[in-house]
Amino acid sequence: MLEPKTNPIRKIVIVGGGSAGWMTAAALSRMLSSHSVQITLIESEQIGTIGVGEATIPDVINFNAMLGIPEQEFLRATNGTFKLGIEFINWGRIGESYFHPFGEHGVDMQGIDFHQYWMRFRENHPSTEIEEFSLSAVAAKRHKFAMPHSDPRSVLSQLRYAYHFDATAYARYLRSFAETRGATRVEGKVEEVLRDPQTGFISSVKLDRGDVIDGDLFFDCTGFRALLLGQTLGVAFEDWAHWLPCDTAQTVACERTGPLLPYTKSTAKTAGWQWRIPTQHRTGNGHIYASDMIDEEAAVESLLEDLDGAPKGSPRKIKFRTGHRQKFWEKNCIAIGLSGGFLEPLESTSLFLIQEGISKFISLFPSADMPEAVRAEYNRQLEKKFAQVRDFIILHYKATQRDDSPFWNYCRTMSVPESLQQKMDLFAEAGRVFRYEDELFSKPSWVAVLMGQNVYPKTIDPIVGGLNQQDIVRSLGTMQTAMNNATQKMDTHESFLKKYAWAGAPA
Amino acid sequence: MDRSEYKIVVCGGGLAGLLTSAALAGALRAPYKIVFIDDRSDIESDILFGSVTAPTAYDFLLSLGLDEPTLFSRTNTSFSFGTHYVNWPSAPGDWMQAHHQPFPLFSGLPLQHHLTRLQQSLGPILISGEAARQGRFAHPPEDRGNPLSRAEYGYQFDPETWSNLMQSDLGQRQIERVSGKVETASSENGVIKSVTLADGRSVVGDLFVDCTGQSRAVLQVAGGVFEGRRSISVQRTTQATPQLGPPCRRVEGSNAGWGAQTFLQDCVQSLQVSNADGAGIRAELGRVDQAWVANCVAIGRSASVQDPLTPGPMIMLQRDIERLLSLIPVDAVANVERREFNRRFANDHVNTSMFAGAFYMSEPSPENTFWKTAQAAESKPELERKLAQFESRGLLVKYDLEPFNDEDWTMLNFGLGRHPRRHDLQAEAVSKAEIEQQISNLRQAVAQIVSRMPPHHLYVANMKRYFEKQQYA
Repeated sequence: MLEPKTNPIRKIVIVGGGSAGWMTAAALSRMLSSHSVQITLIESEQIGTIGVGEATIPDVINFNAMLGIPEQEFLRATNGTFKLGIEFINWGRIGESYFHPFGEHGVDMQGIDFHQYWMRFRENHPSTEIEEFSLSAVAAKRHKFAMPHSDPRSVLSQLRYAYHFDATAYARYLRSFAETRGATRVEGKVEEVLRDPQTGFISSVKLDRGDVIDGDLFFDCTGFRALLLGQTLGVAFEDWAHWLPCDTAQTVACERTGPLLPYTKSTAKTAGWQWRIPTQHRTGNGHIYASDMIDEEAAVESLLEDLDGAPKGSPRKIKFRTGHRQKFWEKNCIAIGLSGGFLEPLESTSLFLIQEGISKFISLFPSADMPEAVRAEYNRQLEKKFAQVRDFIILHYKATQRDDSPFWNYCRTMSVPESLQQKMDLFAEAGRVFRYEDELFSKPSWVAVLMGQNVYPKTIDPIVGGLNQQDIVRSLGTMQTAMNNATQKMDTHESFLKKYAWAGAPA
Repeated sequence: MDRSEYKIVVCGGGLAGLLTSAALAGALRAPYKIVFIDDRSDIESDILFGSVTAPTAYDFLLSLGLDEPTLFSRTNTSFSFGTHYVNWPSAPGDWMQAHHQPFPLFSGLPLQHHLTRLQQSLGPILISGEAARQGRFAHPPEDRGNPLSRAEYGYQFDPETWSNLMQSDLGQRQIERVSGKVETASSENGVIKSVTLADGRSVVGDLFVDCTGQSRAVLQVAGGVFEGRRSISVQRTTQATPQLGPPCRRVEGSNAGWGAQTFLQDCVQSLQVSNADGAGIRAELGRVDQAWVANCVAIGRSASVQDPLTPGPMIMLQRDIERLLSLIPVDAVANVERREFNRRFANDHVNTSMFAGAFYMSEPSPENTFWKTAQAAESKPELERKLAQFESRGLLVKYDLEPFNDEDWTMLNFGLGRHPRRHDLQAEAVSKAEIEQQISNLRQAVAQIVSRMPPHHLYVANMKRYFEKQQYA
């Protein structure tokens, strides 16, 4: 069992700041002792960062926990708010909306999925919505919030939440976190990437001011440019634009108005969709669209028209490309964030994909010779995650009945990945949900979007067909009452947050 | 379903056919109707299901009405904490492949990383393994504070006694029984219309479940093609014993193959597995390309033949049945269900057979056809990846919905002498002394609990007395 002496990694260089760069630096500085590994992050104040995310999924809680960041401190530092899910407006048809909550709908009984029971229930209760059985959705609709309960017998144990926050402030917070733990920040722009002539590994980067920084391992956090992995190592990009035709975003913040909502809103528009993300001090908005289906002026106008407060500054335009690099890790370079791949933030997965890139790396932590076995496993896992998220996002576009614009006509009739088509067919048949073990978006998420966009199974699973209708009505009635009672007792989101972690309030 | 009757015809009177019929009849109501063709022509081959189940069998059997009072008083079933592998050619020593819940994390890290760092073995901290070694058994309690709550158990059993039990209770279920041997089937435009029995009768139906074993009498007509990997011979002998043995199967390797001893209430059953030309029943390990073709679904050995070295054959049978239950056709075409069934079947087969395959992958293996054939036939990229990742850094690569969990793989790898070359760096966040202390505490707690557990035979005897009292109370 003796360990052969392989070269350990001594120097890690992260090129690029922003969320990706600083999340990587923070996690590595937490995991590795600064005596054994030196971590350097190069960023330039001249290169702007794209504030991806702002809205997240519950996994971000694990990331903060891994770093040991206290929740209240984090919320204050980033003007954070709680998020119980997303309201989708005008996606299935214009005038309709549904809620995709975190956590489960109801409770599965006797090994049978809850939505099957609900479909039986619906036969006698035609106006019921499945989201009436999600505590996260019920609370969100009433602008309420409470912390989940750890006791599985309490109905509050069914709550799941994530955050909305200011991503730039988060990066700033993580910067000081990483620097305190020994990571070094170097100001500068990378002018040249130098490679070892024998191995092709990246040996160092040369900055505009002349310094040369060498390393054993390089993280490419340079955003869409993919300076290291793409431009230097030539790893090709796999384009998914034919499934996800949006390629541009116009973003702007506006003044906070009305009650502080504990959820994100996503409204489908003529050639894309618009997000509304509430933080403590302002509301973030963005219009994502396909630039060949609507011109820029109209897109900006549409964005501004739909703000519910006065804009702060003028809209910023971001061009993007949907897809990912064919390898995330090549030689001694790993791309984290936009340099590795991009999927539009329809389900708030941007920060999650960064987090996956980092945590998979930590679990596979290599020696300096970067064994092929390690890289292959890393690439396999990340590719799988990207494809899973991709399918779920495409579903929102495909499962629509809208026919009011060329954009929706294209989406409704396009062919989708085989893996997605199979899932949709299976659900349409008898409400069966494809079984995969480590899917990021599991059964309740698929059910919420499918039914929310009017994809109802042709028939109920025969196994539920045999159960007693009265028993089902009674069980579901009890669940509904428990949820309403629990929500009644909750504080409003705003008042909870003001007591718990309001920015500017004394700690 | 918009028709008055939908007839599911289950063909085959062995364990697969009986369990499938019972499961279908329990879950479905009109318009579904279950017809069971009691064809016992291949039931001797049921020894290929092996003689042990995994812990998942408990819930499955219970859902079919087969609870422990029934199994223990009406058959010679006993408990199984796992399998004791002895003299395995490539292993450095013997080891206990125990059923165990997820190991506790130590400072947030899986146990194998700490054990690698401390160069310690797994054995003495596995409560189910230690109890089995000493021949002791007790039901794991609910109380999470008790280390025994981490133990899991399956059963040691004889497939024939389970079949007999189900045969005698068949009358209580909503199943129509037809006795006879399934000869062939007749189809129209690729769809099976009826099966033909040896005496000339024919039975019509909407969906046909082929549980005929290796003859695949119905699936073959539908167009399923078997893809064999390697052949083995299996012979069984039974010896009566006055007293029940330990709560674990014992498997011993030899030059010619391996043998298993299963300790049942009234006897010890031995399976001898050898080369294709050895004594006993011949079996070709492998699977059909599609387990669901047109309106015919293959379950059990008709679909895949698994190596009885692990609980794999019973795991696969249970999964076959559960997969069918979750995809009962709602119309005549059932294209969607069929595609999903075949996708999961292929996955389940790869994952189940990979675990048994891993036993043959280590060196040195004897210079004998049995071992050389197995090694060549079981080598697969998925398995190579798993082994390479574990040996590189103790990383357990997971595929989708694997029946064998991280604990099973860790025990197997350590048992076969495969140790990670490096431990996870995060293990070093805690001092060696601290983690050594924690592991030593756990070891002592395990030893103490095990010493207070009763011997397997006494536990079963007391339990049966208790069941009897309950029954007459």
